Amino acid sequence: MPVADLPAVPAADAPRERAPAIWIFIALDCSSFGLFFLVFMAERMSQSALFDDSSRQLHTELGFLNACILITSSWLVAWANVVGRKGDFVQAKKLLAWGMAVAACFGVIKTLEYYEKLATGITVSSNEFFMFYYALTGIHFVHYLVGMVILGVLAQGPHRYAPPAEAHASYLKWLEGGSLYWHMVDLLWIFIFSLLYLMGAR
Amino acid sequence: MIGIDAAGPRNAWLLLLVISAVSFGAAEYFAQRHLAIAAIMAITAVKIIVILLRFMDIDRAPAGIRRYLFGWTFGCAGLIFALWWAGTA
Repeated sequence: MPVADLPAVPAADAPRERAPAIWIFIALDCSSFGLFFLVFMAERMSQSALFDDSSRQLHTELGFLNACILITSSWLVAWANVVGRKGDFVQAKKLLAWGMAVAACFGVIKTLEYYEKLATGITVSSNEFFMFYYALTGIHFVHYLVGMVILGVLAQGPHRYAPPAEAHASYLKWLEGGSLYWHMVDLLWIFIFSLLYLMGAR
Repeated sequence: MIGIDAAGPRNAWLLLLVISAVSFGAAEYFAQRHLAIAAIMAITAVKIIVILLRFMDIDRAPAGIRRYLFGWTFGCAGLIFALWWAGTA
């Protein structure tokens, strides 16, 4: 058999294609949230009336508004990626700043919601539903805050003191990774919104 | 996310807003809870798939991760509905 017809065998020391770390992180983070959702549902099985009654004490409209806010912010960040790929970093920075501004409304609404709940005496120890409510939305809120910091850093644009070609390539890589993280924050809220707010609505 | 055309993310954004409103309406106004919860979880799964495809451009992710996240989405939505059903029956 001619050498050219032999199947290609990768050399032992050839670099293997690896999944980008951000995708592995997203898969693992989604898995842990998924387990959390299933534990919530398993607990709900034995006390569905309590969970439904407690869910009705949440403001479904605010959860819906927050879902729309995160979806809109996610869109602006996705758009920033599109223009960033075309090399328009000024527009990308503007879109990221708008994405952050819209997302800030999520933080304000969530904080008001926590304040209102705590003011009426609903705390983490009120019942099992609210234990899950504070845990799930609290962990998500931490993800949200980390995402806001990432967007804030990305909104500064490419590194000014590195050679442009190198700075732009590096910036695009970070923009893609940071955006993926932000979209994950959005999709986790979509599940949390359905689970906590919609499932028990009247 | 990385598509070179801005219309893709924009259309996805509009679709997501519309179906979010539909699921909100289903939760608030559907009298039959089984149907309402089935609709809510189906819409949740669709929304996540749209985000994965249109915003996150999951087609560029490694095949294993892609399959896993699709499985995670449908698995979570399906199990949540099954556990809701079991807890209500």
